[in-house]
Amino acid sequence: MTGEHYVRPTPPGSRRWFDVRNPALWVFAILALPALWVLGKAVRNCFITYPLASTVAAVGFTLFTVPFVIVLRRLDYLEREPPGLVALAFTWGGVVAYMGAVYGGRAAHGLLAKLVSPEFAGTWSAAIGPPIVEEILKALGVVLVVLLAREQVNSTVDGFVYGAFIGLGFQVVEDFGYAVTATAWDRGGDQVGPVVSTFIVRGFLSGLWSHTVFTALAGGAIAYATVNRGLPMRRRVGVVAGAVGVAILAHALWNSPLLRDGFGFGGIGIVAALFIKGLPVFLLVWYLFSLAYRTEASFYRDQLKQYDDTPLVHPEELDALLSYRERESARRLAQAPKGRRGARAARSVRRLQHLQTRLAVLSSRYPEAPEWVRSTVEKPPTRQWLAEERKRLGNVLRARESTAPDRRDLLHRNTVRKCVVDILAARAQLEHLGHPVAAPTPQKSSPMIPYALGLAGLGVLIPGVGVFAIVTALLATRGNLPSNGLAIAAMALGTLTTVGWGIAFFLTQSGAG
Amino acid sequence: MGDRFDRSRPLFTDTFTGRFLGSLAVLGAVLAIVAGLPLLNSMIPGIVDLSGNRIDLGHGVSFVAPEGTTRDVGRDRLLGGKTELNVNGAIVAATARPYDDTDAALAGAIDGELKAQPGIQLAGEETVFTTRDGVVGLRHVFRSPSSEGYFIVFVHEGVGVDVIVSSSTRRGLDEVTYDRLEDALATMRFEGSRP
Repeated sequence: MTGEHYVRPTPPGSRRWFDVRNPALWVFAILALPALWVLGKAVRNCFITYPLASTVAAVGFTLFTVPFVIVLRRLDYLEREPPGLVALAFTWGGVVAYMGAVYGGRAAHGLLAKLVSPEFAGTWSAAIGPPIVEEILKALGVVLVVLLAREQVNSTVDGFVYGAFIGLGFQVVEDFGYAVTATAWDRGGDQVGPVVSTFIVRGFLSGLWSHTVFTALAGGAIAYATVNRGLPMRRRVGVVAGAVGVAILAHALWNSPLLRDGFGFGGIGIVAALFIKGLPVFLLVWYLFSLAYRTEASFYRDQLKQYDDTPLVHPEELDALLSYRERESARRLAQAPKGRRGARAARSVRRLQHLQTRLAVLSSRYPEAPEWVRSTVEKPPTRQWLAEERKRLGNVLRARESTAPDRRDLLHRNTVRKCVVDILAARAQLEHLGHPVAAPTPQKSSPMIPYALGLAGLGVLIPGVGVFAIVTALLATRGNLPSNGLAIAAMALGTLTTVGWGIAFFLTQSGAG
Repeated sequence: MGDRFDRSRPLFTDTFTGRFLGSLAVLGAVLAIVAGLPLLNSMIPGIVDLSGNRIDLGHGVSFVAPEGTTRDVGRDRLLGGKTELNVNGAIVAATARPYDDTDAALAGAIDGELKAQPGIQLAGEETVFTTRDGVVGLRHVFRSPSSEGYFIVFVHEGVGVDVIVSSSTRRGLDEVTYDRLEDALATMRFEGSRP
């Protein structure tokens, strides 16, 4: 995935994404408001009938979104998406796509029952209707985001992020529905037990390879087709169709009755089957995301490279933009002198990295940026002057936005200059702390990581081995070594298998089979 | 790197017309799924006459459908095993599932569910309903501004069954339908409910 236009910066002077003149916003409102009304009534009914179960489910699944949001925002490090647009994507998934899937899914079931047979529909409709209906509805959300704010979809990574948030919205609302339905189905009154069971199965055991991952894949493909205009149309359409098709197939496999009996090994076999059905698509999406991220990071690193003869960025710091691991490695190295001094140095490195990333993004947006940067480095203005100038220009622009392109240019220049001044200040602080260059540690990884990965893989098959994978991965990242992505993967897989086997053991012991 | 903003190959989102048509396409696609599929489903006949057939509710529970019973196969088993029938205009929703509590607890759960629906009120006390095989259940009548009906629950050998009968009009069930349903539900049979 290398080429000319795999990152498309937001052009200067682009409108804000929230524009009431944009028909896409009206379509969103037309679809979201009635869907929200119907969903709101259903949720209200849940709270009236099962107040305790509904509250626990709402709190539990709201908390469930927190780590997802943190991870997704971290993955979206280089060129952050506007929070409002991200919230809109989440709402599309949780409201429009979910409600659409309720009606569409029922109809698909009915059609299968009538056109094939009720028995066939009873067994297979979950693997045919919902995957097609839901994946298409969620993918349409990414298309709507592109229609709303094409300038904000700058790279394939952005599509992964918007898709993941749409999927997350869908997943959380659906899980809430499943939890309350389980309570109703249990016919034991307003109890928490069915909610907890739903949370374990849908949150812990299948939360990682569910709607969030499926829609991230489709979103990445839609962004790829949007950004790479230089490619033939046939290839771009093919990529989107292929990705949506894979998402549908992965969803269908997950919903299908295949392996539902857990190879005849009861609860333990069912947990193993969940991993076999879900893990491959998760790994595929992770791999594709990594490719897209590296492409985007290389683009922004090239933007910064033109300043590597200035104090803004040292050649050793450029690679830190490439991955979370490199950035963390640089922070850990700065933190090496224990105590307050180390902590301050680590904070300064974090700020410097954030500012350098911002400078890279600004440089990609404004062709005149290198000139502005160099003049600022040669004769830096004071921060106070910049703040006053920024405020003044901001007021002027707000008053006469459409007729002030020259003033807008001044504001852009001011933004770039402020970023440069902030970087110089962060650099000065680092020099004061005796750590002038925020470079990552040269030692890239521990030799223990392959062992941690091997143990994590074995943990899928053998109960208890996951614990050793976690310990080995922790040992592999101690000291100043960066928390290698593979070590994190080993730790995550080890934790997942340990929890999975624990739940399977609990289910077996409690006679649930 | 050329023109990094690459305006040379426009995308349909670049113009108002493109965004308008694209938005309409999204709207159309969503409506096709949300309204088109259900419309298509309703246009294809799926009504099956089940009069006199034994209806299997799963978990070894069954009963004989009365005269005038039909089922829309397109609506069946939507919520994990619920069977929905139409008996001369009355809606009969029956479910069987593994259940460890008492029939009073099951009746209480259904009471709560019905009371949470707007306008539904439970009338009088629970009464006993006995099948021909001697399995004893509980029955409770409910009313709403638009319909009237009752539910019967059984808990037998680890299986809980609930049958909710509601009229499609506010006048309630007619006498013939009521009697037919009484006879039909008395044929409820529990077989092989325990493995």
